[in-house]
Amino acid sequence: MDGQVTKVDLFRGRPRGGRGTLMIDNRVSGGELIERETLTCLHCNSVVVLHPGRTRQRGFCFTCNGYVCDDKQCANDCYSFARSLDLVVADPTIPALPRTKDGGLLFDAELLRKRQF
Amino acid sequence: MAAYSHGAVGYTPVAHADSASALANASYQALRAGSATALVRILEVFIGGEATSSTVNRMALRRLSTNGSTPTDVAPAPLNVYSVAAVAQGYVAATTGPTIAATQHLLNLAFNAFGGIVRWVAAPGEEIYIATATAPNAEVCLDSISGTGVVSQDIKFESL
Repeated sequence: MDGQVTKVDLFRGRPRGGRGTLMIDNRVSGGELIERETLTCLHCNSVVVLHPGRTRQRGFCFTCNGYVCDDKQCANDCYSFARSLDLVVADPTIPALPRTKDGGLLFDAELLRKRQF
Repeated sequence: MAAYSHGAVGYTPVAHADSASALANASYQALRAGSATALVRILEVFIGGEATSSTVNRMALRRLSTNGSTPTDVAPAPLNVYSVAAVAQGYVAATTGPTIAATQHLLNLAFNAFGGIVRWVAAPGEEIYIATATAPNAEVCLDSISGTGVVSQDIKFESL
């Protein structure tokens, strides 16, 4: 399947559009209205609610050109989720989409490295 | 690429830890990509609390390590009247319920189900993906980790 055009290619070049929004309204129960921006990790596909008061630098992957979360594997290795999707399209039996709790892979990382864009 | 909505209305969540298996009917909402060549991206999650007293629900969107067996499909509603019927399907009941993967949570949403509202909307390129018909890539479920306040919820997604 290497080099073959897949469905994933259709949106690979799509511009990324900033940040998602999370609204939690607890005012009825005496709480407050919370509105936060979110980002999705380009390595594990999980959504991160951004803390507006954070001063530490956020993760960034220069290969994937975007945000990555603080989980150990996500921050230290480029396990691209887009490439994982490519892998699943090629072989659905590979458990390529889920990640371990620290962002690690459930399959052989070599499979991912072979699928270069 | 057509967008669709699937909802689970007025159900009482059961607290499901990671790895919970054979989930009871009407205790979760699951979405499945629906075919070996399907790709789905989740655009929005909405949860409205209907509990009659203060009840904190920790809801989470998680992948499923085992798909539901013979799920009772509820066809998602297209957001445009001219859209074809969705390949992806939602369900809240199956002959044998799915198993929640002990992997990373895709989205954690804690709120007070006593009238509380949660709405997450993805920016373009920030969506959550499921693909194919094979576990653990194919299905996600939105349910409770703890807290059993009655909720209605809705997942909006796009079929690719």
